[in-house]
Amino acid sequence: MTDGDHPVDDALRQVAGQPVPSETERQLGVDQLAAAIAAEQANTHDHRRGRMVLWAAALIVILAGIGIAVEALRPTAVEAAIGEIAAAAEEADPLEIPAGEYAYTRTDLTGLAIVPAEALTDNESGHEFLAYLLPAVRETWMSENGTVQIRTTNQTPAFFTTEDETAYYQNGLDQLDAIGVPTIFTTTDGLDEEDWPTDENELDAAIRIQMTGDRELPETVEYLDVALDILTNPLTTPGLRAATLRLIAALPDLETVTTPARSRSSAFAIEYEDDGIQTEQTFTLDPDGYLLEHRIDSLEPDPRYGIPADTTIYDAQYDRPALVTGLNYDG
Amino acid sequence: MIDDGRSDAEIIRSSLTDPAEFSGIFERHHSAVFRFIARRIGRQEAADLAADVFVKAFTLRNRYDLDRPSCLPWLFAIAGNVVGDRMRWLRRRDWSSLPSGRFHDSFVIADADDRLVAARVGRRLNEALGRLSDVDRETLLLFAFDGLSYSEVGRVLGIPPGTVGSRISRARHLILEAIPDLEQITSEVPTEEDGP
Repeated sequence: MTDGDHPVDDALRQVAGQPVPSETERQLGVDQLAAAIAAEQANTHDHRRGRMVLWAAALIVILAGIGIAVEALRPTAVEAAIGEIAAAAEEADPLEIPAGEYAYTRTDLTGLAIVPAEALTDNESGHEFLAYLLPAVRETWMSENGTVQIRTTNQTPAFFTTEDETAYYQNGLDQLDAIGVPTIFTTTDGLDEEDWPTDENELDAAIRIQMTGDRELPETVEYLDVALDILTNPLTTPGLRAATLRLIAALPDLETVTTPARSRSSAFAIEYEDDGIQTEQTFTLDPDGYLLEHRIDSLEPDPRYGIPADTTIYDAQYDRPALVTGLNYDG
Repeated sequence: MIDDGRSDAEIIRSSLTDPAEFSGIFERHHSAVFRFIARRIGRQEAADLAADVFVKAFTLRNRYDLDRPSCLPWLFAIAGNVVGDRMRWLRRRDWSSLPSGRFHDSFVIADADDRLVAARVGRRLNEALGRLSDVDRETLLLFAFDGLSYSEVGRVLGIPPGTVGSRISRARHLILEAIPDLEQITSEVPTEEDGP
């Protein structure tokens, strides 16, 4: 008996079979490896770009007298990655709500709540404001005939200091926040949604009209505030989703973020200064262009609110919409 | 499989300057890595975990020993870690507590009666494997399932080829002790060649 035909080995091979990956299973690996390769190429490109920028700066100094400028190079990894997602989004099936059913979405939110200290009767924190992180679960049911129900349930807040926590409860803010008590908003008129065009030029113009522009934030940040809202609407059509993604892809200063290897999602970020505080905004897309997460991190301490460095001050995690038959779905 | 005359090591060397070259490693070995994982943890997890393996390998490729022409043992070593992490995550430390479908979902068997025979054999083999030590079991599986040579198994597990041989002998002996009629019951399981 040789090593190759031992009955134990034969039996193991016989019962285990020869599993062969399907094309879909193979493609998953192709996509993830391609993303990893693209991310490394982008980094390499950035390094090369850094060296080129030095040379470009020197050239500008030398050639400034004759008015020759060097156009900054733009990384293309973000455009390529979001462009690929946009292509998939365009091919995805639209969400159609059958009669008697609802499009159900759930969002797990955490937001920074700020109360001016002067509004408090009892405050030993010494801060000008009482700041805390208020988590909430927001569920939305949308019917095909315009009925919308939104149920929001605030969760127990998180505090940056024990003094803040004491002040919060001493001032009865938990009652105002209705912690653990669902608040329900219902309308039969549908939500007052913008009728966004799907033509990219028209959509770009429509988004810019909606940008607030009053906080002196980079254009990309202002633009994202509006564009990501379009992506969160479960009834956004594949064409509108794809057009929105292509416009996002063209925004300056976005960077790719490494996501866990098993994840099929893609994350992008922009770092900027918000009122003197270094801040990072990150958004995560699934392969069909649905927004999975939108997060804002305060990278530096913010003494006004007592917020330490590297604090997530806003986080919204979105579930993909699902069709349900009742208004009390808890799944 | 892509065979352009280059060894795996040559492709990996090229990928150090041109990362896209690493796709060649994927094309060559994805099926084998997928099979390795599917046989150990089930088909449902295999696609995700196989993708993980190649991303990890890509990230770690600058540490690859370029004197080794074939990188399959290296990929299996990474796959072993990925599967191990996943199994720990799933809190399925006990091999025998894995779902019995772990082996069965790969069957290519003609009809219901044949599936019952195969399931019975698979269950007894599963139980016998569960009684082996982790190291003996993995050594046997790398050799019998994955078709690695003694020296390649040794590279995956970091042990000398002689130790591989003694572990395989011990594992086979223990399985035959547990299933003395293994040859007889295995002969009842139809093969793919038997056809429907």
